[in-house]
Amino acid sequence: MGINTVDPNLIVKDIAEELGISILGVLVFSNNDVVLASELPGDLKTIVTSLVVFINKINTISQVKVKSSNAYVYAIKNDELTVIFITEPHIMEGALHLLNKYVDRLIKASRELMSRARNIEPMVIVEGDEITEEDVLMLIDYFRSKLSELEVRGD
Amino acid sequence: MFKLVIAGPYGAGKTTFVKTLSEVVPIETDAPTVGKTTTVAFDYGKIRVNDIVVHLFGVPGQERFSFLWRIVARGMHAYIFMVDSSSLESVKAAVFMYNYFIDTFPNTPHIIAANKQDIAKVSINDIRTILGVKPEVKIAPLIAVNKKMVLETLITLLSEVHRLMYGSTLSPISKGDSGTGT
Ligand SMILES: Nc1nc2c(ncn2[C@@H]2O[C@H](COP(=O)(O)OP(=O)(O)O)[C@@H](O)[C@H]2O)c(=O)[nH]1
Ligand SMILES: [Mg+2]
Repeated sequence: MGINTVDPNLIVKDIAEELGISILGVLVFSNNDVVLASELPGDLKTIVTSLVVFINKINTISQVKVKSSNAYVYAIKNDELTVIFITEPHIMEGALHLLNKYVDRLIKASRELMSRARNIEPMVIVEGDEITEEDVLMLIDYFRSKLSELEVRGD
Repeated sequence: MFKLVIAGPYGAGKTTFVKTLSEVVPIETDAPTVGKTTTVAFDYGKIRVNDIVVHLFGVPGQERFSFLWRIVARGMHAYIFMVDSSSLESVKAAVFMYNYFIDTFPNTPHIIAANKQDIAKVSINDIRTILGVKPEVKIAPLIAVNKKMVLETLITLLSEVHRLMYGSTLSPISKGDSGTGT
């Protein structure tokens, strides 16, 4: 997939090497959509998704830290983008702020990715228009006739 | 003009589905470009049936493309949500995307295609439970390289569109029960 410019898994690696902080995941959301995401344990996705929805509901929030038994989630909001770092739960709160230096890089990569997406948008923007019951029935007939052709040929 | 989307995580079988279909019905694959070439790989096909044009879009399944899901799916009439039934992990990997589609397009007719039935490890009932598929949503067994099953999946979807939009049930398709609980 050529659209991907930054590998978030690489950023996770960089953070481990440069700061010695073990990161469970990095994500960037645009409103409630994922723009960038590293590999992430499945159970953390649910926490992160609900957190982002929450952050986007409340306009005044710019930073959130949430600790659960298995993770410490640090979210930084930048306009409609939200950068999320997930670390081990026992990390010191102060250490989280060291992660701020990666925010610009992630935001820049996300903006670039999104502007590329806007370039392809006209391509896929074909929107379905009104279809009638006759149209649907005709399509069903068509595919059914193709199916009988296969059956007759014994494919 | 009918817009149909094939969604599902990476590796579910979307590309295979479109390829098999192209062996049965003529599909034009020139994406509607705007003069710019793009490196974004999504499956695309256009099928003409009399004066109806069916646009088929496969959406890239990786979660880092979720901002594209909404773009690709906009204005669709219906979608097939494809899952790889060959392992528990691959079914679980579909949960996030399925939830996204259900939340974002709550009223769009859809079916689940339980693909890779030739090497299936997860039953259709378990897929229903893991994805949280509502009882009224059909789960069709599929082998995406099988032409008949690909056609049956499309017919099942279109019958759902018909049922939901015009409120009547058509006679079942000739072979294979693609309804719930199989
Ligand atoms: N055994 C089996 N393999 C399949 C089936 N459908 C697709 N595959 C294989 O699964 C892999 C991923 O399929 P692909 O169509 O590329 O998935 P996509 O990422 O959703 O487009 C490929 O190696 C296919 O050959 C199926 O029904 N049975
Ligand atoms: Mg593919």
